[in-house]
Amino acid sequence: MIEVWRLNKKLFGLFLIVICLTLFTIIRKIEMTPFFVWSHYSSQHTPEQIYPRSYIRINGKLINLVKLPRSTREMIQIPIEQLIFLKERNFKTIPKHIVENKLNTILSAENIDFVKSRITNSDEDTQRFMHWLARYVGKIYELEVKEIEIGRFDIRFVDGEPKKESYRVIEKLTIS
Amino acid sequence: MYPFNKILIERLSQIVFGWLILVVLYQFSNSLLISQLESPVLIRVDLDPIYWLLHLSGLANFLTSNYLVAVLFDSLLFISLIAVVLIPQKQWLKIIASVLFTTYVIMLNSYMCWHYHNLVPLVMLLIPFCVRSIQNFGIWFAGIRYAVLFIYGSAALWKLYRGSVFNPGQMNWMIEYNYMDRMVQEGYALSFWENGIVNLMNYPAIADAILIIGIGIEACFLIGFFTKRFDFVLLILGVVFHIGTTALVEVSFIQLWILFIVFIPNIPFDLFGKIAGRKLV
Repeated sequence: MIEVWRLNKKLFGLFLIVICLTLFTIIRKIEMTPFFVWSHYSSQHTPEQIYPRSYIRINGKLINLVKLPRSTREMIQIPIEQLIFLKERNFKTIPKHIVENKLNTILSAENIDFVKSRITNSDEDTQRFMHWLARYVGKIYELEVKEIEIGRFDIRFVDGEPKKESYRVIEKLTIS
Repeated sequence: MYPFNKILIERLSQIVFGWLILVVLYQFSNSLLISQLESPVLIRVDLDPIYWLLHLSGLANFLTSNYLVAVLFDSLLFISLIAVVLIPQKQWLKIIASVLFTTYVIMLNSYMCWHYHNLVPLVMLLIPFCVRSIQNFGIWFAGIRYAVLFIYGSAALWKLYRGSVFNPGQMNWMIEYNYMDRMVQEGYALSFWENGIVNLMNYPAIADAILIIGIGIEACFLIGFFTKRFDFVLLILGVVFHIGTTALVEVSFIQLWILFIVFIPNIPFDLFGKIAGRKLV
């Protein structure tokens, strides 16, 4: 930093701001590009008895995602998890809370609705999501999707052996 | 600070942007380019202003809602990266390629509903290539070295602070969490290697020792804040760490290997001088 101060004082100031913002975001545990929290796998865990998972069924058949490359699998699994998360919370998220309760003093009701429509999802998106999932998974597996279902199940370890159980349907769509 | 010159910066541009071409091809092979996403619906912006801006401006929706526009965006991204490799002298090409790549990463993360860290550090590495003066390039390049040290060093500190490093059974949980889908899948036979990893759970002490070694490797990056003498070791450790996480828990951040280029100026033999085709120091 001393060398940066000697060579370019503006850049020194910028670096100082970056360092301060990095410390601030770490203390507040919030991520704002380009300030990231590199805390993967830092929470304490021990093997559990039950792990909740999501599933996808197409044309009545369970889809085996494990053979896909990890990032493709995640592009399917994580949005499903996100839909389940949103439905459990009636689509109430922190960004939506901020828009509705913090920005309402500076934005009109019309603008609040506009911002919400751009950066959040609502229950109306559920059907659109299912159509999207049918398109994306159909393309990956080269399938004509007539019926698609997503849901939850548990993996329970019994004597070290994993078993699937407790299937719960979350959403189902029939495409005519 | 390393005495960069114009030729060396051009060669480095070709290496870094050439790497990004491979990254984009990898994304293409995994159906993850914007035109391959089939107009996704759910978004996750969290509290990140960049994500808010991209979606509030309507840009993300514009780029994903029309297939031809999405194809045009992906083509421009790919062509701009190739253009930098072919004409590394043109500063504006590097800026365009960097902006397009950054837009792509932010869009993918928001539609994947997870602000994934597998690509976003690459954006950081592009900053030096977007500045004009050679001196500022050198300052930024040295600055990014500290950012890379911070990524790995802070990852170790988080695990120490939250206690996962010495938590008995932590590694068994990581293996179980990453392999159970395969273990439970009908008609899926674990490979020889996967079987070996799953069997490692029968030896929790060894599994936890492997975890401690991995976190120890991350912690080694903290040394880089105090001296540059071990940068060559850090480069090797970084690669070993990622091979290890890929092999053990299938967390492959191979895309990030290029980040270790920031350690090359301080390795014993003057590789950058050789890349530039002449002695620099």
